[in-house]
Amino acid sequence: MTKFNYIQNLLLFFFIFLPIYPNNNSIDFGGFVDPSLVIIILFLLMGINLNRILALACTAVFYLSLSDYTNYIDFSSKILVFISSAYFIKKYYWENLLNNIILIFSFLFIYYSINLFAYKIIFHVDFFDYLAFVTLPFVYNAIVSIILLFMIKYTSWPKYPEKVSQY
Amino acid sequence: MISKRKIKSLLLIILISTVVIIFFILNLNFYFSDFLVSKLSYTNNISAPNSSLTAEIHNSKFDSKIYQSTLKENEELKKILKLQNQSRFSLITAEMTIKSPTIFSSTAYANRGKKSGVVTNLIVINSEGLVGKIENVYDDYSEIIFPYNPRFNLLVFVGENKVPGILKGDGISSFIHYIPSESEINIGDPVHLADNVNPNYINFQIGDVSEVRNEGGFLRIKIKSLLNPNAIKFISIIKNDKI
Repeated sequence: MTKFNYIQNLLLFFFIFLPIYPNNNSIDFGGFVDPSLVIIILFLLMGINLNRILALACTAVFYLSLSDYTNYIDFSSKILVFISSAYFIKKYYWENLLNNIILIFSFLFIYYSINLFAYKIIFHVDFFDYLAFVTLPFVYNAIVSIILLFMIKYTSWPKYPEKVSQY
Repeated sequence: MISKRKIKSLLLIILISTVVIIFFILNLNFYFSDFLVSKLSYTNNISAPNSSLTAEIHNSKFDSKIYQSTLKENEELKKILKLQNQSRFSLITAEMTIKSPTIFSSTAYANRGKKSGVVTNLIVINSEGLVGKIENVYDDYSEIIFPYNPRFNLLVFVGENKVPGILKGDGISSFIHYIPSESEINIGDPVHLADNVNPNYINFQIGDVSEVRNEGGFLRIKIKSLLNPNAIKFISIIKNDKI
């Protein structure tokens, strides 16, 4: 499990809280990045424990409290993606860089498919309208997740203790 | 007498040195770059970057960005002021302070509530178009729903003949419904805000017709150039008691 250092924890805090303010385009790219979704993906790929699950739950509930009832669909699909992905990773996943990137795209694809299914049934949305609406968020969420994954998981100093050799 | 072998090696040396000289000439810019000048030249102190000046330039750039954003904000406020002076309705100017950051969410909060005279169902606009509608009002703040919210519905007039229709949201986009299919609506027709008392009450254009489809005896009309409400800061809430 990859651990976060203090600065990363602080940045994570800002990443969750700053997008609630309008005009913060540099953080959520004009409303196209969903921080809770990105954090779910990152936590799933870096390993989950009770603290992280609690942090995710708090973030999702906090965002839900700022929205109206239509956001329950989004909330449910996130829970569904989280549970199914956690199960898949635990049972079948072989961890490497390429698999991680493929998995990010798969998570996003599943998440948007569940939402499409729900919106189609409940609000009868047009498929092409939906596609036009989610294309940019899909791309932005994928890019931000991949960049953050690289920054946190793949560009840190090795944590293995140095081995002492005697000649 | 020079042997053939020596001539060969001499030629080889000449060839290699020519190649090396050409390489150096071609890369001359690099070798005379700032790095070498600063390290080797006696004018080191003169040409070296002055740290205090560099810091000042950085600060100036930072200040300039702040001024630019203030200017943008000022322009936005001026437009709202112009709208307030020219329009035939009274406005409550507010600031959109919080929005839900999830993609499918379509709600935000404004910093004006019951104390400022805001009531439910008032229309929220910006100098550039329709922002949404007041859904819930509290003492000091109110909740706005955007036009693509499924709970959003608003009477609008379409085209030059001002055909009434209902602007509705479906969670991801908004469209106009309940216009009989016999109505003459063309692509590019303007869409205006409406009131059920007097058709000329509010003459505020919110967009143009981009697509017209027949669905079960009614037209389903899509609008283009609707405002993206996610990146708005200042808003105006229309109060219906000026006239």
